[in-house]
Amino acid sequence: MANRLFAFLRRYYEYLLMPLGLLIFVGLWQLVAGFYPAFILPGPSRVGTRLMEYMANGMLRQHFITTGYESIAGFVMGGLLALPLSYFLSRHPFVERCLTPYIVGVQAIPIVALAPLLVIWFGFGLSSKILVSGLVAFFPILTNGIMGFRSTDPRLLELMAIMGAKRKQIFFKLELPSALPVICGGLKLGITLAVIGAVVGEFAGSGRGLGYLVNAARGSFDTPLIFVALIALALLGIGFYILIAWFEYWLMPWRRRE
Amino acid sequence: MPVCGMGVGAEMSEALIQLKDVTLAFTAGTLPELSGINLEIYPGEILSLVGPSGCGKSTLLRLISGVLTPTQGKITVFGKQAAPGWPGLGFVPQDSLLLPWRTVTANVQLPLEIKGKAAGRAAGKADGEDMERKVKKALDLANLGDSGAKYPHHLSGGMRQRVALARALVGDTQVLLLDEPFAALDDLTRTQLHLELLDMQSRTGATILLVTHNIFEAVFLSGRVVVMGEKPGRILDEVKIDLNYPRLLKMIGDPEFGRLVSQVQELLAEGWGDNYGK
Repeated sequence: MANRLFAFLRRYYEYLLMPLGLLIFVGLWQLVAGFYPAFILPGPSRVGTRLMEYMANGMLRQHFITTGYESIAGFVMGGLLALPLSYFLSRHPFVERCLTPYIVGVQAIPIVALAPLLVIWFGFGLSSKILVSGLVAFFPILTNGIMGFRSTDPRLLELMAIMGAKRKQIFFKLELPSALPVICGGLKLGITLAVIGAVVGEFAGSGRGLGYLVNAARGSFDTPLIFVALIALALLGIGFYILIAWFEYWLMPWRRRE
Repeated sequence: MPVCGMGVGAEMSEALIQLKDVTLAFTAGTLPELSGINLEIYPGEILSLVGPSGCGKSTLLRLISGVLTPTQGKITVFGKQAAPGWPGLGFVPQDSLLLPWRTVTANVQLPLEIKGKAAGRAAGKADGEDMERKVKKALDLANLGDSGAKYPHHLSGGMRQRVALARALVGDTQVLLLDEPFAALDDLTRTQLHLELLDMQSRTGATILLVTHNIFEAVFLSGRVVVMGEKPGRILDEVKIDLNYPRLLKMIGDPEFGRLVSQVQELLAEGWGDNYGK
């Protein structure tokens, strides 16, 4: 019996590490939480109860969807603007040089400081959140795009010219696929930042979303609820990241390890 | 009539590629890259360009391919001025330069896709089948029969170079421009590819222009070896290689082979302009 258990563990212990780690973490958390009042550090049981409540009444789902929607919309908007622009700038270094100070300047302003202004301009609704989210997602996608398109091997460009390739063919058959790995790196950064942007936007003024939930819970010293929102945000970020990583895997079969 | 297969005695027919007083200067007022190049290349021949590094051998290939335009003089291919993407051209670079995101088959297919679109044809089903057949033929010519589904990073240097050859040969290639294609390979693989190239040539009747710094390789493969000098890049002389095709490995031991190699070597040494090595 014991031998069989050992054989099983030896074979599958890698898959057991993650749940085991989680178990240890939750155990330690419960232990440490015992020394503090619940409004400073609530234990996992309290947080779990609050989580169940919010899941049962549908509130968590609503906030989750709001923030998820803002992040995705911001990410898509930022990406759709950044990618074509990055190709254009990679082909026209002169224009890039003219624009660089502004790009760096806008990027240098902390988004937390910029968000209130955008809320004043675009209102309390979704659009200001999408804008903040899109703005922070925009820059890593842009800079990675420029880097990716610039990295095209000049010898391959010459080979395409020798074959008589047209501009469009050079783009689709050479420049785009060779830029993809770096672009995907930018997308991964962008999606994570888009979630941050959406939350920052909600902090600056809003009536729903996980960022709003954190803010509201803080106001009523409902620390377990803050934890619930944080867990939901982590899951959202991880989910998006996995989505992009999967997209990358699907898009570039030649980079898969055997 | 183009001489198919034998690669010799081609001089009787009309030149396929013609360079007349070709000069190329990247910046005016400086020493030109290439100066006063006159060269005729005949259908079905294998011609090698040898010379010191920096003498403009590779630049000459780029002029013939049409991606560079001479400052002076004229380059004609099939009687027309050389322009990028001229039909019937295949190019093999030194580092194979395969697209890492394409399988071997897709890499070989690339020139057909580019030419197909350039000719303004919609890729119908018949075209697709035609393409498949042409790719398969090129893969077979380069001994790549069962490697079609692999990605370039799974291949050895020799195999990659075979793919580059197949890519250059696919379709109706009549002229192969090879830019030091075997330089990065080990001796054994190189010799193997020499024999395979000769076989490909005899089966397709392609005209081959080979840039190399390997004198032995030039003599073993070619019907003519053109020796170039530097500063400015120019043609010093040419050596006719009177060895029969098909070329066999045992010919290397032939005293005539050795004589031709040293003849090319002496011509190169003359290009150095002083007395060492003579």
